[in-house]
Amino acid sequence: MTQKSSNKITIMGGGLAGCFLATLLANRGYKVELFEKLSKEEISNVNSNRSYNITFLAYGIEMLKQAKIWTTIKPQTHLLKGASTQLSKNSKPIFTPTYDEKHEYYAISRSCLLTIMIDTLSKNPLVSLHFNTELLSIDRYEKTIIVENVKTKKIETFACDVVIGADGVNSLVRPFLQQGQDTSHSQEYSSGGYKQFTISKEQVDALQLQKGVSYTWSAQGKYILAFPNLDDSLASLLIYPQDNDAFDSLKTEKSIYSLINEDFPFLSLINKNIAEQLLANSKGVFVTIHTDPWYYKDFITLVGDAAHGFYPFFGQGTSAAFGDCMKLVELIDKYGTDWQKIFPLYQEARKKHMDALGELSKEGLMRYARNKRADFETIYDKLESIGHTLLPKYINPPIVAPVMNDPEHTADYVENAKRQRKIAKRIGASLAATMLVGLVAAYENVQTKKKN
Amino acid sequence: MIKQKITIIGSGLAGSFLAVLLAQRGYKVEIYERLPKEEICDVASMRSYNLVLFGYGINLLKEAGLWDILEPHLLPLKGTVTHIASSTKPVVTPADTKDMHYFTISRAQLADILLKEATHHQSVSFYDNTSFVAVNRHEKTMVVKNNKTKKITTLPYDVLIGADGTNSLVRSFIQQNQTTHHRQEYAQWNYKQFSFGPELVAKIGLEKKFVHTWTQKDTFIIAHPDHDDSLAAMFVLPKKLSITLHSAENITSYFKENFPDLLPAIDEITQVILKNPDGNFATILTEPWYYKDSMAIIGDAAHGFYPFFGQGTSAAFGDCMQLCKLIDEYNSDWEKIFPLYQEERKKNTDALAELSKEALMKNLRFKKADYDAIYDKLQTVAHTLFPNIIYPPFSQTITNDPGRAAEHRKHYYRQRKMANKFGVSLIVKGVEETLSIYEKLKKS
Repeated sequence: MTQKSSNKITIMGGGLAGCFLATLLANRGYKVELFEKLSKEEISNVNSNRSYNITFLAYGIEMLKQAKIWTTIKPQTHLLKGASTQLSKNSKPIFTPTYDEKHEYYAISRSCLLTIMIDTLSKNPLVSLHFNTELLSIDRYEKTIIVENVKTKKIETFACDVVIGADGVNSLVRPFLQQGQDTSHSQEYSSGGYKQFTISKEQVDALQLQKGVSYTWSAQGKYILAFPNLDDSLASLLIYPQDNDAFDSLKTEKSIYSLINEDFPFLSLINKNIAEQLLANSKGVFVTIHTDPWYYKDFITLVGDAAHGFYPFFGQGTSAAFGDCMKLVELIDKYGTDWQKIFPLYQEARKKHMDALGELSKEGLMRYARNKRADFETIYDKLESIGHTLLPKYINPPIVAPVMNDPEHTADYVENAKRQRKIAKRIGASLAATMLVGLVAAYENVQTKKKN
Repeated sequence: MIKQKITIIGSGLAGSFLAVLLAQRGYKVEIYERLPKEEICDVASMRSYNLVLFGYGINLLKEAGLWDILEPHLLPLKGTVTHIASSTKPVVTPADTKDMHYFTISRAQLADILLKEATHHQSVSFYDNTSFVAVNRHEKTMVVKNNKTKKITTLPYDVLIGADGTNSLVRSFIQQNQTTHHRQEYAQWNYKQFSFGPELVAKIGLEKKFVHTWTQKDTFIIAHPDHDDSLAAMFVLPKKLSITLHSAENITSYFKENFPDLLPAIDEITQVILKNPDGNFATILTEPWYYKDSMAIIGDAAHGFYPFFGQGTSAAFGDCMQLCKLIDEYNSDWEKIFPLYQEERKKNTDALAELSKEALMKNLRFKKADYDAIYDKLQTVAHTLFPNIIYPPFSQTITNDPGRAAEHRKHYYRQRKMANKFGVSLIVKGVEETLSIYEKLKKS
């Protein structure tokens, strides 16, 4: 039953990370065997729960170029012109253009990206794809994996030279890797949750929304994020960052109508359609994973969410997974298949930055929920960007910008930001920010009073 | 009502004890064990060491109706002898036999007796040489592998209990997709095992039926007696040091300098240290302990801790007993039983894990002039005077009642805080200084 192997790489999981890694390895002439629990149709199904939009900045695009798939992917992407943020139903939206010559910003649907990669892989003779095949167990001593065909229920044993787990947040490769090793693993779920819905092209027109713009609509304790699809519809999320139980009170059409009228009145035109979708879709939760180690000897390692799950709020989940794959093949280019050398270097290069991204994403989730212009963080960031424009050499820009463009050094940026903030405190910048917060809040108070 | 079948993974102490309790309650039990039967019950193997049973563990064995079978195999301990340095007289702490009997037995022997007792029941089937490989929680099937024939089989289960130790695989499957917190830390110390035969014990002149400990700056040796008056010893040493002890010369010179008392046994010690790999100590804090109404973990799989508090085995037995009490109360309503089981047990086993860590540190710096030792003495005296107001030192309360470890620990720290306020710590500090000056004077 055991098949003979000759220096091939086994990848568990046919999601974005697994397929991207397979592409990179096949480009380099390695034999790749990829196992995926779902069927080919299921994993790239546009209408599934797993479908959402992914955004790429220069950093992500560069990686797609290196994987030699950018030219195939580009026609399917959507150039984002900017982001519109509305802090409360009464305030005017703030428009931040994101596109200029230097900063390209693209959105693509997950299923589309995946379909392209799978199609390319299935044409490559070096790659064998096993769909409908679930991992059951890994034997680290005999270097075998046991898998089960979910359709036929047939159980098979495969010999492996090296196994790479790209099997997501709930990775099964990870526990087998960490068994008996000095392990530290924490898996925290946010106290909040989200539900998906779509605003169709016709509705976008009816609501007079701009095309090619991502939207954030904030309200007290909740917000909606919407990203444009290629057909100009908006893939949207209703998010309660702190209150997971909030969805329990949204179980009738009536309750959803009153939510929209109360907090998002500009969407009331389509409230019937939103209510239908929210009632039909299941609730998602956000998870942050910090785990250590990422490898077992020279036999198993992890990439993507399996190694570092975090909230999607920094728009870096996919880029981070791709970054893992790039780092891994970079080391392979240098050391061949000397996994014993590669794995520790790989973890060292990636883990601290990915953990920092995890923490930043958590902060990002919370920040969207605070719907005030008079927010200390917002004003501090503004001050920082003004300072950066005046003295670009001495003052770093707010952390979001460098991290989005270069997530590979997140830990360093966090360190710098902390240092800068400490100095700012000392010279009284935080005092100035606090005063501004007070002023803006007072001004807003007066404004609302006038209205009433 | 036909009772469900309960599948246990692992036939160590926890698994066998649970099988006995469940069989007594009329459940059909299946035990799967990775190793061949002979190996689990092999007294001479690396997996065997001597463990200690205090009042709490003894009561659990009595409750399970196993006391009469076990008692002849248990060796009552007379107390502890602490060898601080070869120049000073060892400190003898006799056991308080009035209300605190305690016993020692080798792990392998206890495992053997419990497993025999379990398989004695007709409703218990035992499969050795069979590794648990995977589980499908939705279909309630598991995959096992016969280690001899390498054959893989899929089997159904009703309730699956993981008694598969520190590196539990059942745990990994339970926690998949659940909100999980898992921490597995290894101590900076490893251990090596060796034993002294009865002749050597006599030659070195060690008291019989006592637990002996030798302490040095960052290492110690703890040895438990056997029935034949031999001693089973555990040598605890920093990982760094362990690497340097790779030749007979190094070992001899190390013992000459640090444990000169033991030089008569140096040949045996050297042989074993060179041959056996190091053991390590893990602390595991993990949750959840269960999956819905179909899977749970017991013993080391749920809570690994260092063996220096003598509570590892009792804690595993305690898990089994708690589980069975809830079974009696709720009649196989596992959805109700498992959360209550974790709630009742976890807080105490977590506290025990912390205490075991503290005990390792305490063993490593045992001196007569040690602050904690003096504080404990004061507390004992005070407790004798005002038994209603002042608690005894918590090592006493906990060894006999680890079922409420978390509570005892809280009391202890509260009392200590109060004592600090009243200036007791000043007095202790004074005594400590005086003692250490006295010891220094005596040495010079």
